[in-house]
Amino acid sequence: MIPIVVPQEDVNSETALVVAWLADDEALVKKNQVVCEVETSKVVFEVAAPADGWLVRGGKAGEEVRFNVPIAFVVASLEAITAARAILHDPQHELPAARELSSFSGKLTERARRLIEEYAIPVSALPNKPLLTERDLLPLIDNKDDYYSPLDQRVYPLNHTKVSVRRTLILGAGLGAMQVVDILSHDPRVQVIGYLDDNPELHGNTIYGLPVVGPSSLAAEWFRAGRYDAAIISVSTSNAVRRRWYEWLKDLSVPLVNAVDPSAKLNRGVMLGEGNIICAFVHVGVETRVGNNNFLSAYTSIDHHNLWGSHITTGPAVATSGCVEVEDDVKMGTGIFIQPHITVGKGAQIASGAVLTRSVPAMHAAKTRINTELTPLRGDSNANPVC
Amino acid sequence: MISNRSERCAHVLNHALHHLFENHPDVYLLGEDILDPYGGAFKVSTGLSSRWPERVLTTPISEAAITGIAIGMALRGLRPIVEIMFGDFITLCADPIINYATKFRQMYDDQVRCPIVIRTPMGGRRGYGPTHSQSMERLFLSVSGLTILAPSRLHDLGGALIHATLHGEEPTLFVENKVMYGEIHTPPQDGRIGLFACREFGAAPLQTIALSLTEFEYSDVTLLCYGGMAPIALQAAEELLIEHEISCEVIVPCRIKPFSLEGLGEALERSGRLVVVEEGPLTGGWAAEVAARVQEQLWARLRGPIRRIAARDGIIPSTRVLEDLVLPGKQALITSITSMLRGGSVLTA
Repeated sequence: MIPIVVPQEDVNSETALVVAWLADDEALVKKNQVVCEVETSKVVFEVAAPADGWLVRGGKAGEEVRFNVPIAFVVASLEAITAARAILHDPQHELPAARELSSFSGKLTERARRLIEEYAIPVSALPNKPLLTERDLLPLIDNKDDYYSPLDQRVYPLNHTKVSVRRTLILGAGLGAMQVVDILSHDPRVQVIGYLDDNPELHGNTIYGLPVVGPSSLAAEWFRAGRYDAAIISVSTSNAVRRRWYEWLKDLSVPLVNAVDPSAKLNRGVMLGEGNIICAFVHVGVETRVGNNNFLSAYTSIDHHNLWGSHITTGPAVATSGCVEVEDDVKMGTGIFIQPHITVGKGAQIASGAVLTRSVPAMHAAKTRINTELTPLRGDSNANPVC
Repeated sequence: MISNRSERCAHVLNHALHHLFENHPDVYLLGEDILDPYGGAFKVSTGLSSRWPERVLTTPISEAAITGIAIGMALRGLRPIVEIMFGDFITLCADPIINYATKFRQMYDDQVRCPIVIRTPMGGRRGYGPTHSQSMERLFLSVSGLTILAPSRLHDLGGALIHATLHGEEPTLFVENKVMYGEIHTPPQDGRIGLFACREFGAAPLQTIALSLTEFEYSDVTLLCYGGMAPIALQAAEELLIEHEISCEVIVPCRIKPFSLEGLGEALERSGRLVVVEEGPLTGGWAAEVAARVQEQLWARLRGPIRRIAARDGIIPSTRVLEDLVLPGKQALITSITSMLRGGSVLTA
């Protein structure tokens, strides 16, 4: 529980006026986020949150508040909200933990001290050690997941590269997620911390050792709480879902990472947006531009000077010639060939095995008739008429 | 252990010398200005010449001669101790050490021993300038047949000196850190030194001491150092844990040559990261040798490259302000280790 106090910026004022609150009561705020504007006789200044957590507001807009006493608290647990309200209501009210802590004889790390105060851990419950660390105290906290996820503490073994590692959430916990996490495992800049999926039956499962932590709505809450840095959408079966989640993530300002398999060949001049999944052995020819949030399956070969939009999915082994244009939301099946200088319009769907010799208008389906005959085999495979 | 915890390290060494002279008539001391009342530049020899004047030999200023005489005494069965007033002048002993003392045993088919002990203060942080502040033991790391002991205030200082004098089969360079002389001797008691839990590796009195603030349950980084760097490393470890929640195990050997990896294996199992610290300059130092050995033998336990923290290459300035910039201090350790782990143990920040 960390107080927000109005610093005395000038000596002419006895009190300050709360001009406006810039964050809702009980909203999740981030450290250094401006939460309040305060006016003294000389100046209006901004007050920032001292830490990440829930904001518990004291004074109302238009009220006079005193300097150097808490006008609000930032708390780390929902339980602490009640305690914070009690203090704001009655400034004489003291946190029992803070009072008791002075009787503790051992030494504490800064984070351990903060935990004890925030979670009101009684001194009698503290482990008997000469020095207590955060790790010693976490087992004492019931809702420690609200404080931080143990996932956040995973250390990627490449600190020496000075490449900052992005903690990344994968949206969707289906078969696509397995492909995406496999691809990202080769990227030292990305540390996947888990999956989100709206199917509650998947929650608590693990995929390649990482948990399905909850519904996709968590992406908003966790991003505001600073618990991850980037996301990627793994769904490969629905362009509509890909687009919807993408737009939602962009509304939240969540950056997206690209997942590019190390075996993919991206040639000179290729420009790639964000949130793309580029599977094994994909080839992208020179000067081709690919937008955002596309899912390019294995052996997709996009030749030179193509222009691809966003939210496009391909099945394996889709091959385009040079100068092909593919607009947003196009869905392609498996094994498709596309001639040069052809445009595939927005939202078009191309069936497996199609050979496109002319452009496809927007919102059209394209299909090349392939007659696949099925003949029952007799017992003797030598009698097979096909091979 | 013939010391108690409230004694300064210089006194502990002085007591050990008194113990040796009292009980072993074959022990001699040679050096410059070691007679009472002066008792040596750092007072470690105080009182010896008054009680055993015939066995405390003050000499002219010739380190080569002092060492050569001691070698002759050792060859004939005595146990001489040489005090070199400042370790920087060990260069003048290099020829007798390298070409005689450490070679005679094998040159004469194992028929002679040359168990001399060369005690000398090393290290800076006293403002003594370029030629009285160096850590020169590094120059002798490649001299085969030489043992180098560089105990810290955590070790059984007196025991180490007695052991080297009486039981050494080979010449020993006994490095005494200058700052350590004035520090309180703090060996482990009941497995602890203050807040630190301690483990000891190797035979007494030359144990390697490992220290942990987190009861050896976990650690983020292993810090290996010796001599005068040990107290600095412990201060850094405490601040790293209290302020940055970084758990840092400190491993402090007493014998730096030959060097044993005892204790390092299990520590690296926990941390996977090694920082080797020394007060001497970076190039060609002890840390380089240790880093090479660790990566040869414990590669599988490392999660990142070994880091060295050492003095800047160059001279050690006389002014304390500049000296502090050249020698690795607490802040340098903290900065290096936090930046090494940056992006790692991020919690809420």
